[in-house]
Amino acid sequence: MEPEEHPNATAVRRFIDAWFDGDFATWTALAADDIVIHMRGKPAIDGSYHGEAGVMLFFERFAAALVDGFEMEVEDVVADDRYAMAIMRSEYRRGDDSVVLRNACAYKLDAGGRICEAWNVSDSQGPEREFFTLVDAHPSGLGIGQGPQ
Amino acid sequence: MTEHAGVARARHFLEAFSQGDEQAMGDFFTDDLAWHVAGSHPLSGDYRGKEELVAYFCQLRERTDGTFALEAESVLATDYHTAMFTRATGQREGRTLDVILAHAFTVRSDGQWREYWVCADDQDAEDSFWS
Repeated sequence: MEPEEHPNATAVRRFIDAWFDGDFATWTALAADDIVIHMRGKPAIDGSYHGEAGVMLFFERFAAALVDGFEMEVEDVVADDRYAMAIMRSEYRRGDDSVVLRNACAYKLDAGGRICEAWNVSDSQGPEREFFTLVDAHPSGLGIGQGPQ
Repeated sequence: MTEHAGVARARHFLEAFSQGDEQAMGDFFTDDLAWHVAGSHPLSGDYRGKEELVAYFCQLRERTDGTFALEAESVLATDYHTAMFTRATGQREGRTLDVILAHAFTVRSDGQWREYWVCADDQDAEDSFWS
């Protein structure tokens, strides 16, 4: 019999699903008010995004960088009362460009099971950096490497 | 509740790391593992091979005059993946490192780790420390 999944692993799966589905109401409900998302190695969206306003800016920049969308598949999530790690396969597309990555996505959770910090690394950092550098002008007018610190 | 075998294995790895036992550290990984160090510092990148990984662990120690240390905050495992969240500290050329490192491992059916990712919560601080 498979051991029961930790509730924080379930929360992270819902968090990722809500992100993929664009369900921001669910996504923000699973996030702490002072959530921080760290993005590095993706020049068009690099930065540390704080709180709801930061998250909305991150959503805008991410959507602008991926005109033609993305796919995400969660392979596994491990979690305890404080931390979680998701192993994921991601594919990002823009015009004729695409990149396929496997990511280790780290999460810190508060005592209420809400995600308060997130950061990640992929298995193909060079191609990932190149893909997210090719964006020289977002529809929103945001440029390269202007993520908030 | 019984501890998952993957958790015990990861704790043994941390013990080997703290003892600087390179041979023991290497024994946890497959010969052809792929491994990925986040960031933009001289040790960052995507690599392959156990020998190079052990050399990387040695670099962590040598570049910090032996002050680099990992302290477990959480160790997690399923049958397929293991994760460690560690507080990483060290001193180097007048700089101090104090970050949370997230380590993820893909586990082969015999328990050996065949892929390894590591990234810091404060990647800018880690980049500055190693650069």
